[in-house]
Amino acid sequence: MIQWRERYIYLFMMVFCLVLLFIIPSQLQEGGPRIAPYMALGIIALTSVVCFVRCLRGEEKIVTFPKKVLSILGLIVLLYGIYIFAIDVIGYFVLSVLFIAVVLWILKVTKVKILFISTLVPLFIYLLLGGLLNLRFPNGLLM
Amino acid sequence: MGADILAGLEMMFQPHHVLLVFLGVVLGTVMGAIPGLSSTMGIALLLPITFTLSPVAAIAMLTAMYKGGLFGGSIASILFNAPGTSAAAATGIDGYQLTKQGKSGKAIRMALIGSSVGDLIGCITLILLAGLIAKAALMFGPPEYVAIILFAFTMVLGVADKALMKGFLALGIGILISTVGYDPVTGVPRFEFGSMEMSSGFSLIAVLIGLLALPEVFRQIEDVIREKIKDHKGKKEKAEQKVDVQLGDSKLTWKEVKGTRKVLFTSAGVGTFIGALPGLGPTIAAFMGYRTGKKISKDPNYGKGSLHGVAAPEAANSAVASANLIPLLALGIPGDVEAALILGALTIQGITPGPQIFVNNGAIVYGIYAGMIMAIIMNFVFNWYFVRGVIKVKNISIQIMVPIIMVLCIAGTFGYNQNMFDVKVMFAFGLLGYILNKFGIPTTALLIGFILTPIFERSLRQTLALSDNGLLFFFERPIALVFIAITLVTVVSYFIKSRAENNGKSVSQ
Repeated sequence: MIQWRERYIYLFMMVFCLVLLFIIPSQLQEGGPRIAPYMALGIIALTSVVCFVRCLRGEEKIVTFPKKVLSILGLIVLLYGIYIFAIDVIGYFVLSVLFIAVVLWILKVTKVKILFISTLVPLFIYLLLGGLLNLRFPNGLLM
Repeated sequence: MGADILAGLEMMFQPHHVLLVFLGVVLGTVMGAIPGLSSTMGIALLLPITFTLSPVAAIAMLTAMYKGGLFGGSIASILFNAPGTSAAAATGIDGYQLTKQGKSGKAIRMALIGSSVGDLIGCITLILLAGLIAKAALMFGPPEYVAIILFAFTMVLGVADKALMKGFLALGIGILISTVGYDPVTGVPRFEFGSMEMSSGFSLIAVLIGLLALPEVFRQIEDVIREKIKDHKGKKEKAEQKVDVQLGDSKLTWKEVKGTRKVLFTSAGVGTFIGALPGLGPTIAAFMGYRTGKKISKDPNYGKGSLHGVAAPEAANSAVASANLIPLLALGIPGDVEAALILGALTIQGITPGPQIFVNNGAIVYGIYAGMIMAIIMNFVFNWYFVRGVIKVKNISIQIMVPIIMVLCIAGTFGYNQNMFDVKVMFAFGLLGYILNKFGIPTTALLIGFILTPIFERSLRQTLALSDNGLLFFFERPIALVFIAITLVTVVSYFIKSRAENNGKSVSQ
């Protein structure tokens, strides 16, 4: 079992606020442009501290995952990330076919459905958005 | 005036104009229903084509598309918690809960009724009170906008439920995220870290799909895997899970509809008022309508799967679809993005909106009014039966829907601005949203902060620039003061109420 503890979210937020405290003066022009970022910083810092204290008092949410769940979910998220970052190189439609097929295979959908859906959905998007609305999706290798 | 009305009706009721309005409704509904796509995008893409049409047909078709899109956005929001449009995000709060209870049909039809009633009220207001409301909106300056948005921030109290601190944390993150990009007053980039793409800020559609649709998809994947592991341990074969979209519970009773009338009309009023104010738009109206609905509804399930919670935001956001033309037609000021696009369409036709439009192009204005009413009726009739088709898709396998929605999320996000940076932003926010949801930190509060901050910041800084006494300037503005007082009363009464609830709990323990 893998555990995610709520307190780490608030701890991260508090560290983030400290970093932001140094970033704002170096990144932002003085005066007006700093009003909203400092307002946000104040709200995040205050609420993070309060929530962190509550966690220490025992009012903490702990999320548990079986290792297998997190590894399969992580794999699909990773594939989605690769899909997004590779669109420019390989192309949207080619990758969509591959992505849908692989995810359906991971989720144990029948082969016939995999073949049918992975080709039909990108084709529908291509006809509707590419053909009708003239949207130009990155073609990558097809160029 | 009478002659103008007759001429306008004659213009509108030509067969091919009626067909164009119907086409607008259908296209808008489809565009709105696809997560990430929106009728706004459709209007923008169709705008060059309207040059070939008559002014009445062009504007009527575009407004029909907008109306269809506003309702269409609620379909995906209710069924998958993946709002097709940002305006439908509030509808998903209760709508998706109803889907989980197997009442998606009810929810969609309630949304349609809310949408049609809100739109009709907005349209009637536009026709009868355009001049008067525009005059009232002229009295609103930056201090009033600051006060209104401060009041809107109290919506966090509604969406955070009992996790108030988590709600405000999310609001803070939303405010911070909205400050990335060009400063709304000076135009200087903020937090761009040398990146050209970052200097434009994050696209609303990318943040919206990332925070609302993707986390839900990830959660669905997690549930599917958990189920499969459970089944594997029990050594039993299990069919693919089905999304619970039941045809059986799509019937709305008259009693249920009647029960929502107070919420419906009040929220439609809120939406009409917000629509008449330039720059606020349907998303803010939807959240304000939802919050108003929560205040007046007697339904204890509000926020947990209530028809009132579906009717309120839909009535409010659809009221904007007509009311946003009040400042446009009467003053020449576009109320929101869609109104700006319609302004573009009018300009293409050589018509200048503003007080003179009623004098110079009276017949066209009344023709547009007739087209808008026709669009409302068509939207209702078409979608009442189209919904049946949607509900009949009751054997959707989650495993199949997951990758399809993921691919559509990319298509929708990319299509809005046609750049891959938005898609990467959407992915990053999807991960953030998933983690926040896991710990009960409401992403809706984050969205409220993200959507409202630009207007709030601009208005606040304009107020400070206008005044010598700093924030004391608000005491010279009665309307702003009233909104600030309402905000304070809302916050204080919420704290008193939650304290009383906590004390009650400790006594019972």
